[in-house]
Amino acid sequence: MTRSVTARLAALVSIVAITLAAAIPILSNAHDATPAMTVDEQIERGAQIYYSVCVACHQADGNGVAGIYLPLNNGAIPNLEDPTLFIYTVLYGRGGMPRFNGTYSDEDIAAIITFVRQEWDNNASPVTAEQVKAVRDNYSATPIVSPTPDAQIPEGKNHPEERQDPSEASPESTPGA
Amino acid sequence: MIVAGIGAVGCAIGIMEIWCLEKNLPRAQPQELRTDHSTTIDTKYQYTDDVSAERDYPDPVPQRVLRAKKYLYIISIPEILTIFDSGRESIDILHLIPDTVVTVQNVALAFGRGAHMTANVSQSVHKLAKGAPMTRRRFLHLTGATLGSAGVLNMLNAWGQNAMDGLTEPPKLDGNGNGTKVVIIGAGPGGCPAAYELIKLGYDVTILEARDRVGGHVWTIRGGTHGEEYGKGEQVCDWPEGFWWDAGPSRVPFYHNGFFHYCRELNVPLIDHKNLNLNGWVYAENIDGPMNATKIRLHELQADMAGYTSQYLAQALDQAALDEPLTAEDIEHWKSYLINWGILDARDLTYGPSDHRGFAVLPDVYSPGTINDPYPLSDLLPFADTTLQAAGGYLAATATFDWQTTMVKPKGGMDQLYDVGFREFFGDKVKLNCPVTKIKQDDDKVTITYTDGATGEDATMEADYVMCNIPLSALLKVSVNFGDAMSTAIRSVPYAMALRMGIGFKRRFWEEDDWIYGGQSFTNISQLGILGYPDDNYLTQGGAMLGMYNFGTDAAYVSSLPYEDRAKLAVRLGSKVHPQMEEEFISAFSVAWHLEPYSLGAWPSFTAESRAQVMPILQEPDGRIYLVGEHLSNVNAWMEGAVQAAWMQVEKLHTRVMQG
Repeated sequence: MTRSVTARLAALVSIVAITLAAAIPILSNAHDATPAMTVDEQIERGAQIYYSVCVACHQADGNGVAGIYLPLNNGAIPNLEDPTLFIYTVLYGRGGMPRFNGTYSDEDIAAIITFVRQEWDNNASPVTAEQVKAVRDNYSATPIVSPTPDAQIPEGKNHPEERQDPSEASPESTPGA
Repeated sequence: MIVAGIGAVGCAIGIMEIWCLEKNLPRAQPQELRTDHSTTIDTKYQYTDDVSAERDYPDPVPQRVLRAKKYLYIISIPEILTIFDSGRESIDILHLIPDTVVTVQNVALAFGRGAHMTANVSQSVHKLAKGAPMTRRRFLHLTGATLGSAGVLNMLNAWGQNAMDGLTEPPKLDGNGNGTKVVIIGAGPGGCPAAYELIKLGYDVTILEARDRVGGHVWTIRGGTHGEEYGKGEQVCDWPEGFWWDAGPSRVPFYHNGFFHYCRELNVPLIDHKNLNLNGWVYAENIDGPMNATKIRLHELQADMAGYTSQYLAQALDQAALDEPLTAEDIEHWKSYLINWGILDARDLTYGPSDHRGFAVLPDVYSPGTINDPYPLSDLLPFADTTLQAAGGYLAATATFDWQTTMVKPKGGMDQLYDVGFREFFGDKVKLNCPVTKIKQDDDKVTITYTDGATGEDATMEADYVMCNIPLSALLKVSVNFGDAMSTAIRSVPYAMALRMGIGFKRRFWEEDDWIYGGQSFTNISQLGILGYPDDNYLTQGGAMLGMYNFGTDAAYVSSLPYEDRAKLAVRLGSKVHPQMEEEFISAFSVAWHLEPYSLGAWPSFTAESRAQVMPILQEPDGRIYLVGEHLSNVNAWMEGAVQAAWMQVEKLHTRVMQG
């Protein structure tokens, strides 16, 4: 008897919980079968998000803040031919960068990434929502495992291992490099 | 290792091995453990008596002394597992008190009579116990994981403990560090307690702090406070004397006993942090119906929603409309409860005007006042729904545990514990304005390179060990030769974004005009979040309030604006609740924690998966470097998490040093 009342209340509670969860405001939930955006539409949408959110750290010129926020302009990760690590980083965060999984739809994340890969001096291929979904599916359960080891990221002035004082860096003192 | 006799089935005395894991503790006398199954609940082993006999404690022994001195040890024997498999009650756990007093508890007692510990629990406890002290707390976690919360409650009952019991005191450690050199990097909520305990244990401690103050994320803003976020230039607070506001942690839950421990130690007085004030405002916009863009009092919202909910449920009960096998007594009790909870008319079970929800005209010497009508339910529902979505942590029927009243805080600002209490205790052991740029460890020492605040020149310091209180997000900007596992773990952790703004006002209009003394108002404007009022100095001239608190993409957006534009936005949004804001505005001071040097984030945002993967790595030393901070704790983003992590790491380091 008591159990039955408890079960009823539990069901009520879970309905409330589901309602609340469904109502958590997200900026976009375009998971419906909307037609895929063209690359131009992606860049427009990506720019809109970039200049209201990403810009806080990575700056309007995409150059970040030296030694603090990695540059996206000419950045090592954004310009990798395989966008997997870039997608992964935007989805799950990394190195203190926030995660955006759950905040943006796959379409929006593809748009942000496409915008960054084509803006400023960058010239890398666009990315589709399907590619974002593939990364989400492949890496969701293993957040600590980066799809691309840092050692495989090409060396360069914007390598993510870059420290405030690169002259001090040696293989011994830069782990993972 | 201790060898002791203990009873097995049929009361035969057998020999078994006890895993004595608390290596720095004196060993118990084996014969004291010699007992048999039938005596395990003998009162002569009662904990309190033994402690009182051994030590000069006052009588009765204070609970907190008892709590701090209890440790659990696990007996590892196949026979015990056999007993458990057979379903019999038996002994698996001994309470070992550090001062050689040994008490034996019947574990069946712990799980409640008739219940028994499964072999599973014993094995997993045993496995987990390897290499680390098995504390009562850790054992409880395992119990919870295996037997669920009922098992934990039985255990606590058997121990005569309160379910609220947490870590309340630093570990009791014997021995002296004898001048072993430890450099603490970062005088934050983790570095301060770590340094405090190590100094007391006889270590030679130096604390290097990058900022010009002690506290790290704990930052009380007053007139004269200056800040400089990346890409934003400098801001200087120009509030009048007496205004203060906490940009970082601003409130302490009632069960954060580690924090309170240091308030006691350092004589820091505490005041209430109201968090919830039923006379605070609730505002909602972008909703359907006539209540769009209106504000109402929290006591109105709560009375009306409880009232309507009670009415509908009570009427359904009355008509036996619920398809539930309730007895007539159940129904009567529940109806009676709802009448009193929702303030219903007992005659027809309807909700209507009452003095719980407030007055249109207050009673005074001339009149009994006029009671307000409730808002019509269909008008109120969209409002209530959206505000609960936005602020359910505060406004749910029961607020989230961490935010339940009464919360507290140091009188005059959170920095009274850190930038006053700890700072005075440390004296010249803490070096301010000394950001560390490199940490290099080898086999017998650690070399720390930092910028000396006094000279502006690079300097180095050597230490036997380092305890590092830098947030993981900022630690990545320091060159450290960590091993691969630690390096990967640190790099894997994302940090959350959050922006908080304090606004100084010439006049306390929230008190003078709205009669709100402390606490908060709530909105469904995600860029604005909550408004928080000062909880002290009521009816004085002016004060500073929390004028904006947002997260995630809202925090990113607002933080991308110049300081002045952030303030304009906060005043524009806040004026929807307090139209007086613009008129009374003095100035604002905003802190976007993701843009703050040496922080670079509000707190680590773990998932359950990433926490399980990363935490065990972060908690172990990497060579001679120990991390410390809330990021090592399940009590994330609270000062308490940092205190507990400090205690854990100090215990590990001291145990290592004592073992040579």
